[in-house]
Amino acid sequence: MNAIRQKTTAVLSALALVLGMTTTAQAGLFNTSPIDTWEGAGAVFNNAGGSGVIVWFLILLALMLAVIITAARTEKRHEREHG
Amino acid sequence: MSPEELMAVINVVADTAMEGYYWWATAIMIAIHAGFMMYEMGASRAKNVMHTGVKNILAFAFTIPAFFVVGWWAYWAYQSGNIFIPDWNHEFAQYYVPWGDQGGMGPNHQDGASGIFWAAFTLFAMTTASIVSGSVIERIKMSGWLILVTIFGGFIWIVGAGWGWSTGGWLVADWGFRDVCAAGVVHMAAGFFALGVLVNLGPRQGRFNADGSTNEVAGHSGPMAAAGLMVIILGFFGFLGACLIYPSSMAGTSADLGWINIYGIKSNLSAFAFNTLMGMAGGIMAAWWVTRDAFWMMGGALCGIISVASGIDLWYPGTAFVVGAIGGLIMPYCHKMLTSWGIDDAVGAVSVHGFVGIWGVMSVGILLGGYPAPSADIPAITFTGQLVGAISFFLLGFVPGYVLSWILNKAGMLRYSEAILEKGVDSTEGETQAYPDFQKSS
Repeated sequence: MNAIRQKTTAVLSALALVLGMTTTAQAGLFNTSPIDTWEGAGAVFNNAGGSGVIVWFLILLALMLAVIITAARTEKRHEREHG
Repeated sequence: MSPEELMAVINVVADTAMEGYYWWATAIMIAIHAGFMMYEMGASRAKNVMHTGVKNILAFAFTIPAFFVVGWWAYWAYQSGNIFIPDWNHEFAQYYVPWGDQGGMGPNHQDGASGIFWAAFTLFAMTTASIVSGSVIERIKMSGWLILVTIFGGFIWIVGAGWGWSTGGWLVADWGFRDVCAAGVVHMAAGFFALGVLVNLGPRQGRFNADGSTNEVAGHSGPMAAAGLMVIILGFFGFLGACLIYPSSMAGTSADLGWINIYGIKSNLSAFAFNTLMGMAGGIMAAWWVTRDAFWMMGGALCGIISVASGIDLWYPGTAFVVGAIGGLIMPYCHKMLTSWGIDDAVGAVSVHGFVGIWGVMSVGILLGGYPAPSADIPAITFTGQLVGAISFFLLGFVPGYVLSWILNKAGMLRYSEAILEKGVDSTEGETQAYPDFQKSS
């Protein structure tokens, strides 16, 4: 019970912290926008012009590879099991 | 030709093209309902197939007049920052009252936009009804079902659209909420409405054992269900396309603005194309990865689209892929969680649309913070704004779903008797038999 209470308190505290943040602070914390205004905007996607794009690109490749590798491993296991 | 005459011609051409654009987007959206019907019929046992199909088509038919009578003016009546009481004095609410004298709700030679926008929104409304439809197959009474979809598709969801899908709505004006392609407005509201109904409706016959363990209730046609999901995806391209506002004379000087999204921010179909396809691919891949199941894999496609919907014109496509993949990853676990609570969601709609809808809304708050608002007096995108939106759409869906179905249950209008369910609804309710020449299993 004590552990559950501690976890609940931690979650509620985190939620309160987030809800308590000012709009400005949150905009800074989660900010991925390459623009401050829509006037004359060009590339508007998140992290445009920054290194964040490379990170997302690498995660994309890693996910595709992970799925293929997992599939190959599973098929090999099935071949061993079923001949 | 004078510049004024030239501008008049340009406006006529743009307005006519706008009508054509929404006409065909509406037509493509009908594929959503054809797909849902195929999916749900395939997921039904042979003894209930035609009842499932009739239920879908009648939902279609009832939502249209309900949205004519109430839905369209209600959308405008919730754009004054009000939460519960509609603003009858809103200019467009008055124009679109179907019994009013302003001529907005019928053929009008001076207004080539209202009917086509009403049609597109009516198809959005029908989508909310179709989302709920799959969850409740093989046990819901037709009378109760028609009451539920008439109220939900004709009114409840559009209140949320007024709140969060217009710059005048309180979620947008006060919190900077952003949901360009309706992960919250349509998917969350419908998914959690379904959850509220399922609590009172109970499971399909044979789904749970007395000791709480579960049985798989296999539908009668896997290929029909899988093909239906592909057709739904086709239809969603019409849905997403209709979430953009065509550059007509209505949008101001079309040459300056081009396409705009529902919040009046410049956008384009290219942005939608990048992220719809990348999100969908991520969702399919991830769902297949964790389930190795054909149906969940196809559900993953929808999860991918829903996951990226709220920020569809802002994602870097690589981010959209990952965001869609996360949607595909969480879906089966949410479904397992619901099942462990004794909730029988026959097609996983609560997980796909409700829980993944939360992710779609919140992913914008987590990953797209700081994007400017459509105007200076509206806050930028924040985590808190998206959270307030997600909570609102959960409540907007779940509470009416639970209350309405509780009332229908008490009135004996929600669930067929166990004897009828045992025999099959098609034979007892006089529906055409789906496969009269084939032997049926119980």
